Amino acid sequence: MSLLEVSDLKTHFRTDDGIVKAVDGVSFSVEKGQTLGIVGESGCGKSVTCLTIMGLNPKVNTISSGEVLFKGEDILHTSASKLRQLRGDEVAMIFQDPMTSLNPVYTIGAQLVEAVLLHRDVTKKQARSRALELLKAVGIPRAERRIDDYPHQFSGGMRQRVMIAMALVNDPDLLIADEPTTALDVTTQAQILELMMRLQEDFGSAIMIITHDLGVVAEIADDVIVMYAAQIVEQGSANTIFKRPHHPYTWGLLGSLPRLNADVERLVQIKGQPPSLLNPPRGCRFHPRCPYVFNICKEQEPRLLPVSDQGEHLQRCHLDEETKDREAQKLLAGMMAEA
Amino acid sequence: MTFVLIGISAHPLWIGLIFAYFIGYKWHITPITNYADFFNPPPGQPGGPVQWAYHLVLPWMTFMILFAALYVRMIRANVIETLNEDYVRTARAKGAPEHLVMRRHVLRNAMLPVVTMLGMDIGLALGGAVFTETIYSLPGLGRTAVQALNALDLPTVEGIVVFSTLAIIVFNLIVDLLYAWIDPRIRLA
Repeated sequence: MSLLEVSDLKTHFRTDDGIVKAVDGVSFSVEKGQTLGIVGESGCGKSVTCLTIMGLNPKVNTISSGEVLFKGEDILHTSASKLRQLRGDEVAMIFQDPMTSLNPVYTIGAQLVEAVLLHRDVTKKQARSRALELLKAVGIPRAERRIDDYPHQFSGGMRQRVMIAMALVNDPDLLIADEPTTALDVTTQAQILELMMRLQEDFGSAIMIITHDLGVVAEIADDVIVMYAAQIVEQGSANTIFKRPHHPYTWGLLGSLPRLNADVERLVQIKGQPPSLLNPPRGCRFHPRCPYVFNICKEQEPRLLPVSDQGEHLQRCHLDEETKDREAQKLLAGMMAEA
Repeated sequence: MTFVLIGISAHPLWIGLIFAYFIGYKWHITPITNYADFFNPPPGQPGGPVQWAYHLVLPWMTFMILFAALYVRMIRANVIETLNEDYVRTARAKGAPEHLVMRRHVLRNAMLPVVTMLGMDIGLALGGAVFTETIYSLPGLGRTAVQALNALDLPTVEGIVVFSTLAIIVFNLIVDLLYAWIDPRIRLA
């Protein structure tokens, strides 16, 4: 049994302009102790997927359907109090912007202690020593003194460490990280990623990491999901995705990575804008921006199918496999040649 | 919100008259106007704490309606704004039940602007509630100021202005000190 099993998850938001299909039929699973990376550009539904799993979408205008099984139990349609017990205890989340994710009027110690006391029947003193232990584990220098400091007295990177400490304080089985390094500068990013990997070994949590940074995924993920316009377009182990990418959108993402040694004036970009989720394009959702588009793409929506010789590697594209292999090899060869 | 709209739109002079007419004159629930001294009432006049409070019921209600409405509107706006903050989501992600999210994380932050306004308003109120005092013929600073103006009694007007200014300054100072206690970001290191 997988730790987390999501099948045919749909999250739709009612708005004044109509129904926005923010997540439209997404299925995946996360195994115990593994890392799943979800990549895609802004607005492709990756964050909403996670918020739906956590049950943190606004209640009034959200319609969710499908199934989210955590340890075999449906958590999408469970009661609010059941979900609340799960949150912060067995499933924890780290958010994108550490500058605004901590409450400015409480000390970080108080916020960590709160997280412990909500789920553990311990004294304040024990909770505090647990908080201190975690602050040390995430590498806050002089943690004994800093535990009584307020969030504004910390830098962005340090605050993200505090957020990670807060997420891990109850030893969760699943850690959902929604772009944990986006708001940080590059050196801090590397430190935070390294920290997350080290803590994963120590705590044995599974991690779901959302990012639009392929470098991050390459570094830490075991499995990768590429999302485009509320759907999964390619899914597989990190190895296959990076060695044998099979969807033109994935090629676009790989091709647009900046390279230090290549002397190019501009970065390669995927032309056009991401489609509106109110009214997605007919046929393949990527067809208006796809350089390989042909007639059938405009008419018929491709299904998420396994690549012939590998059952684990799924992709959603009409192109024949030969072309895909050829194009992928060309792209990768180009990247290798420059590297 | 209907109450809020009425409270903000209706002038205290009008509310005062309506209250005095219905509650005081028609239904005889409270005195219509006038004041009863808390200490040492003049001979033959009602006095003491009970009479004092009894005579002030209507003025209090009149005074309250406008401010209650303003504050309800302001607190509502602040709470709605704070509910969208990232740290509220963090609190929910921690598994905090909704009442704790509200009390600990939302209200504490939504309170900040309210405290500012409260300080200013208490200062203002000490400087005299002109309309309320006039309607209920209460011997207060506001009515005294109006009478002094009509009588061109300059020293009295000056005195009241100085006192009101002082009241506002003192309460602003208190608010600033309170702020540091409520919001750690304002404290000096």
